[in-house]
Amino acid sequence: MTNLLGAIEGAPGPSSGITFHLDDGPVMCSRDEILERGEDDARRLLAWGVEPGDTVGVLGPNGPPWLRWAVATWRVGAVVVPLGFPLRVRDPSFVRRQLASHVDAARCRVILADPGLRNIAPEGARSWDVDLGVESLPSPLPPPAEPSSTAVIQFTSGSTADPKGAVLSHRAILAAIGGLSEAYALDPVRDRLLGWLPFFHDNGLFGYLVRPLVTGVDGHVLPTARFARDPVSWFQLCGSTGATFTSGPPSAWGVAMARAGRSETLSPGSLRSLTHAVLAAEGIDPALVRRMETAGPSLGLHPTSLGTGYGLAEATLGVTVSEPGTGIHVDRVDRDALAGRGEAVPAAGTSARGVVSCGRALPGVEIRIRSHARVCAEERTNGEIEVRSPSLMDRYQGSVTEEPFTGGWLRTGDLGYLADGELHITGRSKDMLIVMGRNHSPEDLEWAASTVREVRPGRCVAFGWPGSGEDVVALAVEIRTGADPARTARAVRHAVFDATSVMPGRVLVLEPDSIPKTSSGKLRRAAMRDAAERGQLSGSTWIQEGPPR
Amino acid sequence: MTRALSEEAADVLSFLQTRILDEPCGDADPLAEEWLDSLAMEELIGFLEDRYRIRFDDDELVAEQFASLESVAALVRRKRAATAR
Repeated sequence: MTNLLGAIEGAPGPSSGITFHLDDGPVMCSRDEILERGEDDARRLLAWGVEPGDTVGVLGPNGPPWLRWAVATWRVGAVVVPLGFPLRVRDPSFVRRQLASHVDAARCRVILADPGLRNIAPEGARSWDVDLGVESLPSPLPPPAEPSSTAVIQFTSGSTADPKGAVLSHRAILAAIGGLSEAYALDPVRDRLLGWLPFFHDNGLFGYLVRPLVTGVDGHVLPTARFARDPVSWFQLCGSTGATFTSGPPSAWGVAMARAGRSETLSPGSLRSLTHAVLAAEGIDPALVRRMETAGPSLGLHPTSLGTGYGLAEATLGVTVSEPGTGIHVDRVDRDALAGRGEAVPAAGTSARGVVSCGRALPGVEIRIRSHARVCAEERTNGEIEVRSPSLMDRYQGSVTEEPFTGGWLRTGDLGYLADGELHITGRSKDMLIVMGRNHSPEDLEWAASTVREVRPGRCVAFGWPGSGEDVVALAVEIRTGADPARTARAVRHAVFDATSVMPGRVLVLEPDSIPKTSSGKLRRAAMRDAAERGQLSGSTWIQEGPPR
Repeated sequence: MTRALSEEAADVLSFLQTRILDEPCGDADPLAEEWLDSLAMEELIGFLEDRYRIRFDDDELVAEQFASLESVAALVRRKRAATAR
């Protein structure tokens, strides 16, 4: 057993690396270069007082400096803390508050930040472009980190007020990558990985920074901002790099496929080289799967190359993946039996609901379903998904009140059932709102909505709009007596967008006392979602409708 | 299209209509109707920066600037004038 750097040094295959496709052109970082440079940068970290076990925050877009400082941090046996930020910083105060909460929870010793993000970087952050001479720096480096020591603290759940970071060891990360590589039979000669999710997202960091280096498979990275400006650039890069593997949230696939259909510049066979086109990081709508199966072939994407997966930051990255080369399977079950008795009874016709299979547990991973405090031995019973895996986090960092493990099993908070050994996700029991793969805590969106003068303080609820595949965010707010509903809705939309870069797809302006008064935000959100699903939004005076779809 | 739009506003509308929106807008202003989500906003910004060779600062791109086709058009004109100077 080794640590991350040992695994990178010992990676098979020809000397490979990661190519960043930046605005000014591609920049290739080879594995040898990365390791050599890491030694010098590790000495800089030592000179700044970083010791083994300390935490180093990294703040910036996907690019060579991110890679550089991650490797240097691991070289001194310290811990990388990826710091998230929105694509655009419209309201620096909100972003600063969020960053400070993560930096404090992780107790970052040093923060390396892109100088372009000076307006949000926490106090004391250093520019990640620093290039001092190394002559006067301490020369001996600490011994390599133990496999059991912490390599990354990944903040993906919890709110600004109550941040939770998954504490991941070198061993856990290597187990996660090993399991995925085995499942996909990645080959350094044949395969090429392409990703654009940010490195502060588990899928970006482990899938497209760590995995290429550890497996010796060439990696290609598109900065997230370039994907957002022009989603078709993702497919164009697939064509020009000959990528065999790429993944993204279903919402992103949906947008890119729609835009590709109208693009004048995309060549027809752009996705021809893909053998794995994986939908992950969000719930998957069967309708999207059908659209991809229909529209894919004109781009050279065969339906059997489509795949799914289920994972979470607490298990480093993946938990299950669908059988490569077999496409995406949709299970059709009786809607009422699932909602009522929690049983996934096969059905057809209008009473059926399609549930996308996320495949089987990765090598080394075990999953089980718990329903009504009992572990279910039988298949097709819906319940909370529990995971046991060498890729699990050690613990949460931050103010955590609840123990996430039961006898070594992680309670995921997600709901699903097993059928023929394949996991089917039916719901997320955490409140996190996922927009384009990025997690947003409802508390943060509610906080932003509460800053609007016409909104009654604290009387805001953020939830995923039913039937939207979770990526349409709704905000319900109670209005102050006498305020104008349409103006209030607009102000809420703007306040939430400026703070979080999430544009709420629905704003519901409600009379005072329409939102249930419970002590738990979780219950309030569930109640509002339920009411919206049944079309029973009593006391709603104004609903801002979404775009025509 | 019967309404009188400034040149830049017509450009924005044509971009949204041909690349982003699934249905015809008719006489509606898709920005005023709030039909764009966060990713579509990014795509619109990318389009404007490339088309007019301008670079926005993040804080110029607050939601208020996207209230209507003409408010975006006005922002583009201000930015072009500043760049030309």
